Amino acid sequence: MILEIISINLSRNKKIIFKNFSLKAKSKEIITLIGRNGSGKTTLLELVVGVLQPESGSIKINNINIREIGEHKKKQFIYLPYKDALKEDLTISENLLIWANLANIVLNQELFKKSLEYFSLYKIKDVVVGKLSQGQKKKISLTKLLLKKCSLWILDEPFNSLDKESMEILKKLFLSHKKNDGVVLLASHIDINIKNKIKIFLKPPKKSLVKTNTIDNWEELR
Amino acid sequence: MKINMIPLIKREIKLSISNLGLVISYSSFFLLSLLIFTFGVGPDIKQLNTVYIPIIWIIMLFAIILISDNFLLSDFQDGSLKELQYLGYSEESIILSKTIVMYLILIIPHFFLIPVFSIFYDISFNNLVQLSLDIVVGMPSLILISLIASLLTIQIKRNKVLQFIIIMPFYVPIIIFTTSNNESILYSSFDLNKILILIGFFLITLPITLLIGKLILNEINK
Amino acid sequence: MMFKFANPNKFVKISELLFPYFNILFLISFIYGLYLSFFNSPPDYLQGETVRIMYIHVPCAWFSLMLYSSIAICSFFSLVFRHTLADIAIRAIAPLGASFTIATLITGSIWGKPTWGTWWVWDARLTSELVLLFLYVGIISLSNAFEQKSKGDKYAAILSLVGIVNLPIIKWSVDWWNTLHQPASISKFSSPSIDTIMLVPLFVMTLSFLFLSLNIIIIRIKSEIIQRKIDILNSSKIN
Repeated sequence: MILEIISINLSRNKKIIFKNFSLKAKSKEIITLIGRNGSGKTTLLELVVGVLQPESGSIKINNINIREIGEHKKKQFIYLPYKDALKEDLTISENLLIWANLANIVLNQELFKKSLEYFSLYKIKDVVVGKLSQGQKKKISLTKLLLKKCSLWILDEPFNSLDKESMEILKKLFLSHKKNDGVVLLASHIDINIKNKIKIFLKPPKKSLVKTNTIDNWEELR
Repeated sequence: MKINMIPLIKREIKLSISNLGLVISYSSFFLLSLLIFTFGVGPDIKQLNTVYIPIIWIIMLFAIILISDNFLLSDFQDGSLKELQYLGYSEESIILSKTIVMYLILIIPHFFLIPVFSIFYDISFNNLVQLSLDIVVGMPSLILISLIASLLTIQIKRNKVLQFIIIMPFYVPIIIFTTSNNESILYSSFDLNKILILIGFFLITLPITLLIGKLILNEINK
Repeated sequence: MMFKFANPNKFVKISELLFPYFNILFLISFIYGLYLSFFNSPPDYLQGETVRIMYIHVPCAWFSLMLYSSIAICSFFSLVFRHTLADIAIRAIAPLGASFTIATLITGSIWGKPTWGTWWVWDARLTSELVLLFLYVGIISLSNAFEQKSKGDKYAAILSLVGIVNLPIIKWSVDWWNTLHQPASISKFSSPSIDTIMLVPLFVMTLSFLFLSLNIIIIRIKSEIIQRKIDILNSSKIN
C-alpha cells in the first residue's frame, strides 16, 4: 500500500471539509481529484504531504505514518504545489540545481540534460525565469519529476497553463510512471482524459444555516 | 528534521548574490540618513563627536528592519517557505540560515562604512575599534529580532509601519547597551564587558527568536 | 476549570450573575478607599498632600503589569490548548491594560510636577511603563491587522509571549540605563518601607480596581462573543 488515508476529519472556518474521508492506493495507479474551486483538492494534497494536520485520522505513506518518519518521508514522494517555488531572478538551471541541492539529489550531467530535454527546456536553460511564460514555468516544476526518483507523485494542477502538445507529453510521462509501479495523485479542476485512471470527485463543503442559539461550543466562535 | 543547514545557506547566498543591489541600497541608506542627521545636529565636529554613537546604531536599526523584508517576502509569496518546510527543513534552520546569510551580507558594507564614519565624526582609533567590535557582536541580535518582526507582518498588506510598532520595544535593551559608554575605554583599547554583554544578549535572543519563529511559521501555513 | 467554561452561553450566564455583585463591591471599596486616602492617611513630611496621588498611581501601575501577565497566561492557554476563550480574553484585556498604563503615566506625571518640578523625568520606572505601553499598543494593533480574526488572535498571542519574556530584560536594562546616565538622583520611588496606615488605603484602592477590571473585562468578553456571533451570521448569509 503506497498511500493510505484513513478516516480523516478537517474543518476550516467553521466548514467541514473532510468527514471520515478515506483513500487507498496500491502501486500502478493514477488518481485524479476532480472538483470545483474550493472543494478541497489542494487541502487534501497538503494533508497527505504533512503541511496541514487533520483533526483526526491518519495518513500513511509506504505503511508508515507521515508524522513519524521525519526526513525519510521526503525521499518517498515528490510534491509539486500549486505555486511553483521558482526564483524569478535566477535561470532555469540555477533554480533546478538549488532545488536538487535542497532535496539531496545527486545530479549528473546526463540526467540533467535528458530531463530538461523532455519538456524542451534544454535550449533555454540559461534564460532567467522571470522572462518565461506561465506554461514554461510549469514545465520547469514538472522537470523535477524526472530528476527525483520516487514512487509517489503528488501534483496540484499539473496541467495548468500547458499547451496541448505538452499535455500529451505529460500524460505519457504519467503512464510510464504507472508502468514502473508508481502512483500519481493529482488534483485538477477539469477532467483529464487518461487511460484507466481512478477519478475522485470532491464536492465543496455544504453551506449550513446557522442559528446563533445553537452555538454551544467555543470552537465555533474562533 | 534536517539539521543540515548547508544547502539552505548555499541557497540563500545564491539568492542574495543575484540581488547585490541590496548591499548598495543599505550602504546608501545608512550614509544618507547620517547626512540628514548631521544637517539636523549642526556642522560642529566636536558636538557630532559626542552624539555619533546613538545615531549610527539607530539608523542601523531602521536599515535592518527595512531590509529584512527582502529576505522573507519573496520566499513567502512564491511558496518557497512552504517548499522548504515540506522538503524536511525545520523552521528553526530556515530562520537561522537566513540570519547567517543576512549577517554575512550586511557585515561587508560595514568594512567600508566604518572608516567613513571615522572621517565624518573624527572618531579616535580606540573608539573606532570599540565601535567595530560592537557592530560585529551586536548585529546578529538586531537581525534576529527584525526577522521575527517581518514574519509577524508578512501577511499584512496594508500597514507596513506595523512592523516597526511591534518590534521597537524589543530593541530597547540592545540599544541601551550598545550605546553605553564606559570609562575603561580610556585605559584599554576596548571595553570587554560591553562586548560580553552583547554576546550574552545574542545568546538569549537566539533561542527565543528561533522558538517564536517556529510558532509563527506553523501559523503562516494555515 | 476549563470545562466549566466549555459552553460560551454558560460563561455568559455565570458572568452576568456575578456582574452586579462586582459592581457593588467596586463602589463600596472605591468610596471607602477614597475616604481613607483623603481623610485617614497622613500627608508626607516632604511632599505634603500630593503624596495622596500615590493611592491611585500605584494600583494603576500594579494593574498595568498584572494585566499584561494575565494576557501572557491567556496566550499560553491559547497556543497550547487552543481555547477560544483565551483568544477572546486577550482582545478584551489588552485595551484595558493599555488604559491603566496611560493612567499610570499621567498620574505619575501629575505627581512629578510638584515633586521634581517637571512633568516628565526619565526615571527608570516611568520609562519602563512607557515601553510597556508600546508593548500593549503592539498587541492591540497586531490583533486587529488581519481580516481573519483567528489569525490575528494567534499572532497577538505569540507577540505577547515574546513580550513577557523580554519584559524583565527591558526593565533591567532601563534601570541600568537610568543609573548609568544620572548621577545619584533623589528618586522618591525607591520604595521605602511603607507604614501600615498608608498600606490600608492602598490595599482598598487596589481591591476596588480589581472589581472594576473584572467588570470591564466581563463586559468586553460578552461583547466580543456577541460580535463573533454576528460575524458568523453574516458570513453564512454570504454563502
